[in-house]
Amino acid sequence: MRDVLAAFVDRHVELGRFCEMLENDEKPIMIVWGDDGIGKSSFLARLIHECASRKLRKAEVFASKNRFNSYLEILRKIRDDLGPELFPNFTQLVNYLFPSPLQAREPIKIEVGGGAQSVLERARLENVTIHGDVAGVIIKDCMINVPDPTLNIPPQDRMNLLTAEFLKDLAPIVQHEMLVVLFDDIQELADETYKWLWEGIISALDEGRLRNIRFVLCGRAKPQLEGTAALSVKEAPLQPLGLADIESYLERSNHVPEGRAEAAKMLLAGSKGIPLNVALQLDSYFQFFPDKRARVNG
Amino acid sequence: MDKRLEEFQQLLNQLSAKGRGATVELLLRQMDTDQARCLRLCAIPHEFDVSILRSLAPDLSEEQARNYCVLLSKLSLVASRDESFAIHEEPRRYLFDQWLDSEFLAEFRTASARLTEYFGLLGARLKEESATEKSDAVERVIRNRMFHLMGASSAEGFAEFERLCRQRREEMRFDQCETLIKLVHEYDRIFNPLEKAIIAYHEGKLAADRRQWSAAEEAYNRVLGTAEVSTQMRVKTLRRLGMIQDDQRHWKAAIDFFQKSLELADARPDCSRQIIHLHLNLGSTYRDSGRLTEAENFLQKSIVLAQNAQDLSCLADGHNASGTLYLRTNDTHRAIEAFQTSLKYLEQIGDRFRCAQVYNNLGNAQFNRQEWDKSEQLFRQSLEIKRQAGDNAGQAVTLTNLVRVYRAQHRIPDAIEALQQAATLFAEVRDDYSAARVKRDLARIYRSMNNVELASSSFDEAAALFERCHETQEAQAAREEARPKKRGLPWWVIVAIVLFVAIVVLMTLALAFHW
Repeated sequence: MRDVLAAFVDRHVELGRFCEMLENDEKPIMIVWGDDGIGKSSFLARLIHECASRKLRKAEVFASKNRFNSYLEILRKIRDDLGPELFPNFTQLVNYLFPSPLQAREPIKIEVGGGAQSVLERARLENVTIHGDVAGVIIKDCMINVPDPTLNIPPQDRMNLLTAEFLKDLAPIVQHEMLVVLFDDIQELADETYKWLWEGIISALDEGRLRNIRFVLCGRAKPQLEGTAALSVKEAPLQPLGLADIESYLERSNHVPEGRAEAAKMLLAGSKGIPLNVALQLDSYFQFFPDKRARVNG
Repeated sequence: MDKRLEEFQQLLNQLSAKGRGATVELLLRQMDTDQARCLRLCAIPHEFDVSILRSLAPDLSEEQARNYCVLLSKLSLVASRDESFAIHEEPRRYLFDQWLDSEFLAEFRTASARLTEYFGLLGARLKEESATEKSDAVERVIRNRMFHLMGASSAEGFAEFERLCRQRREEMRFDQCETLIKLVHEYDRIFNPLEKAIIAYHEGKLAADRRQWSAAEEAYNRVLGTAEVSTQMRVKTLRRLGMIQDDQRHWKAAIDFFQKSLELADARPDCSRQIIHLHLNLGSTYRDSGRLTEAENFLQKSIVLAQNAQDLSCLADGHNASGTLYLRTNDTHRAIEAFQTSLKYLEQIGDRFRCAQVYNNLGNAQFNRQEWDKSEQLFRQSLEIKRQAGDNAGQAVTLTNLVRVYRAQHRIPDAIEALQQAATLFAEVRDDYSAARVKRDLARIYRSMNNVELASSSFDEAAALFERCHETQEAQAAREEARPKKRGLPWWVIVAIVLFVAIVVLMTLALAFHW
């Protein structure tokens, strides 16, 4: 859905605010909010596309009830999006605090020389099951969530230590290059995680420990902003689509010119401009009228 | 308008009139029956892929399942997530809620049972591969299994939910508890009042752990407002309400809840453990509120009850609480005896972490005897264990006790450092009242060092914290302490002195003239 809708919902005004944010470090945080189906995720996909076309580094954290709603999961996701090899200190600390029962031995390391290589070419593997990435050097941690009970580190200290180590690894990455971190469905973050996000990560911008980072936070409701955070935020409340947006969507979805305006009016009336409803109705519409969709070569 | 377009619009209007989910219904009607069935089935889990779809619809071949996944992924309501797919939350909720309708419930339970088995096997395989139950992937699978077990069989699902919730609370991973609670709420429509009350009880405990008192109170009141709740559950909930009042130092309210709970328990055999705990709670709260006779009665009774039940854990608590009471009456010898008895029981049951509290209390007893070194050693022992347990509030309390030792030995820099640590820890656990008291102590130390600026800012911080927890009198007192004391004599003394001098001079002059 994210990919499909992103193809048509431009959200020019909001996109303009995002571009301003990229070009100016005065307000490095953008909050996007709106009801379910209003197109937050689609808008986020549009922003991801914008980052890609500007060749900016980005990390995407799509929180859900069951994923990416704790601080450790989020740190690991950002690390993995940027490249685990860039976070050696953080990964080392994670492995120290959350050891795997299998970690006693040295991590597997495959040495690969320069130039184009096929990592597993002619390799003979026995008694090995590969579930994740196959790369020249394997650096990721073991994704263990329960801390080593023999260590004397309380949960809060553990979180602070990991965050500090993560920021230490991140600082040189963003020294000369911009990073955009995009969060979707922040309402799914646990209480502690939400607090940590503002106080542990975003605050590093205010305190000058980090630079060249932009945060986009999408959620169902406008977050409560306190203190200096409120001064660093650009707001983008999402509104329902208008007729012109829907017509544009039909065009990009390859609706033949004939009857497009009528169909757009009908979809606006039926969906009240809620992007998800527009998209779902259009899916049905094309099932009902397969001939209304122009064939696209390739 | 085109005739067929009109037809489509009519269909749309008809479905819209039925309310929520019209667009999903419209889409389902346009789809091939098997594809629509697959979409409905895929709304049961939070994410799906070929193997999950095959588990939901075992009649599908691998290739068929793969083709359906490709078809579904092209729909606007399906997003790809790493190697799997997810239906947008709103349409998924609509489809999931439909499954909970009585006409589909039997099929839903069967599908959920299959998913339970699927995630059970997956979890076992992942555990074997990673040799641990603790990895991110295994934990997610365990959560998914719990979620679908709830759909297959409420009773078994609830047992698993409560087991996981307790485990995560013990590990102090409150974010994980919150995730579990959010997941089970998806079944709200089919939960009976008793099941809703069980969830509310866990929500209350989580909120209390996070010191979100009003949320905890609201959740517990929901439990009490449920007619179907057993007496045992009521007793437990009233006790929990008492505990949150006690944590806020609302002694009278806490005692009222504990008494109500005790009256309700009324010597029922299924509440025997709660009855011992309630005696302990009442004894401790009476002690903290200064009603020492009542406190001793309740604590002694708790020890007798625990002895009869051979409950070593409660015996340890009873002796520990009694020791603290004796400390208050300056009977240090009896206090030390009681603490040592408590330690003996804790060692028997191998509870290392609760020993920390007793070491702290023994430290206080040795402090009373002016045994500074012994006292410091015991406080440090307590701190170490509390650090291991991640008990921030406990560490803060012990640090404030350690400050007394430092002050007695005139180790002011150590005292300042310990108070600063304690203030940070109290702030982390959102205990504003204790944080305020620590800030006030810090201010007094700075004042004694003639550091007016730091003293004043610490008093201000203390006042703000007292204000935040509605302790206005203490806030006012802290503000007054912050004001620099005026030096010199009050005006009326100066006037009296001037008058006295004038009278003496006049009398002297009068006498001189007279002579």
